[in-house]
Amino acid sequence: MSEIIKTKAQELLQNQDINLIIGYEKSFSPLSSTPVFIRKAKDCPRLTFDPTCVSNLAGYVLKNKGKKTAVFLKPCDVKALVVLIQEKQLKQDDIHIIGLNCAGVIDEKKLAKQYKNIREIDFKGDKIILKTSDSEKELKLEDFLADKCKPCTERSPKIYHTLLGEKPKEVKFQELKEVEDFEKLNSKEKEAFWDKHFARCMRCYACIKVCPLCYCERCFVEKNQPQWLDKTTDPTANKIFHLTRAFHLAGRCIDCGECERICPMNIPLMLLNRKMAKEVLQHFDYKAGEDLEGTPPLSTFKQDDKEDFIR
Amino acid sequence: MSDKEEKEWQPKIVGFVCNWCTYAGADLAGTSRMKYPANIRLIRLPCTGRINPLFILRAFQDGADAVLVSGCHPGDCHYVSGNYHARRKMTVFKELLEFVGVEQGRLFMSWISAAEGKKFADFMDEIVVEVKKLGPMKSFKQEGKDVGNNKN
Repeated sequence: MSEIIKTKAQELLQNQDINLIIGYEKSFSPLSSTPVFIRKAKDCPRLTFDPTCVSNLAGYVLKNKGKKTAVFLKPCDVKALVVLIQEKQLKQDDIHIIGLNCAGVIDEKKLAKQYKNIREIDFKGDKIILKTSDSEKELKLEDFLADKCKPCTERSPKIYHTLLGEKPKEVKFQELKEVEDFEKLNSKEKEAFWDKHFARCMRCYACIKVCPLCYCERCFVEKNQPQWLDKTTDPTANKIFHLTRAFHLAGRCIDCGECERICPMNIPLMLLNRKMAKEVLQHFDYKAGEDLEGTPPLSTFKQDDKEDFIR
Repeated sequence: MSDKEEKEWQPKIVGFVCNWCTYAGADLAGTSRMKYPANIRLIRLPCTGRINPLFILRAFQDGADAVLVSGCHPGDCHYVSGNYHARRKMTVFKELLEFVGVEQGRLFMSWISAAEGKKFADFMDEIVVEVKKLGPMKSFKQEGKDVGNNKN
């Protein structure tokens, strides 16, 4: 796979007027990969793709607006690009999507919790070969898959210019019921749950920085005329921050899960975002990132939208 | 007000209403001398489409026990489609609030036209009765908040 990637990348840089290739390269830690920005053919051997490539590279394309960019995207990440194109942040002609067939990505924290001193990790089909400082283990990929990969049915991207990688075999589909289960709690329990989490938010805004769809040059948290939120980590201000961010992502969030993964306080951000996605699907029959010609649901309306809550 | 009424807790209700329909309807209720509870504080907007969910969160933060959003009937919006956008926004926002534990019955939405003075007055009565049953809003309260120009 790595050979194919490197050859394809070199080809793209030489033949088309592509100014930048955004891909993954090995990081200092064996369990993760890091984004890499390649402008010269000689750097192409740094490119890689395996289940440690968790980050969503779509957001980085915004840094190269106006010039042609090629970007490596997993099926979930392609959706972020679709939304960016729908919202006129990028022109379709300026992007070359290198779609990647994906067997899922690993949950680094799960692996690191169970096995100490990991030195090397290798992937062969649906197996992980793990080398620690004193042993070698063979594990099943599905036991260490990130939660967000479990309900995924699209292991092959639908929109791409180039497609790389083997088509994954039939995967076990496991629906996440976290939103439905949470809805069963009563108001007091829901409030207690969220207040406990929001109180720990330290307003680092990493969730905003990593989200490909939080691209506003001036976020509502930065405004001071009017100032919507205290800049401090007051629990109420934190709550308002998260609710507003979830609302701003309603109908736009494509469930890449990066915000929750990188939150230093482990706040269950995806629970909020998935709830919004569920409501948008239920009320407006719309899923973010599927159709390049689609219109964002909250910027349009239907005359017969439901209004049973309106007196 | 009788002594009993004065001691009873009075909910503070903030209403984000559209200038052309609901505000005019409330004005009609007033000029027709219809009695309705003084718990509501109206905030006049050009259209319900102007409503940002942050307004509602800010109202709760500043001490509102319930919030009302009210505008023109579908098809009658002065700006053609503002109320349709507000309808979509509120559909989603209402679910979000319930999901984080805000009780049902804190956020109201209605279509009240400029001719519906009586509907406005009656609806205010209903809201106050319902909110009194729920009690004061405890979420979103902030000690020592001094955001913007308000100093508590």
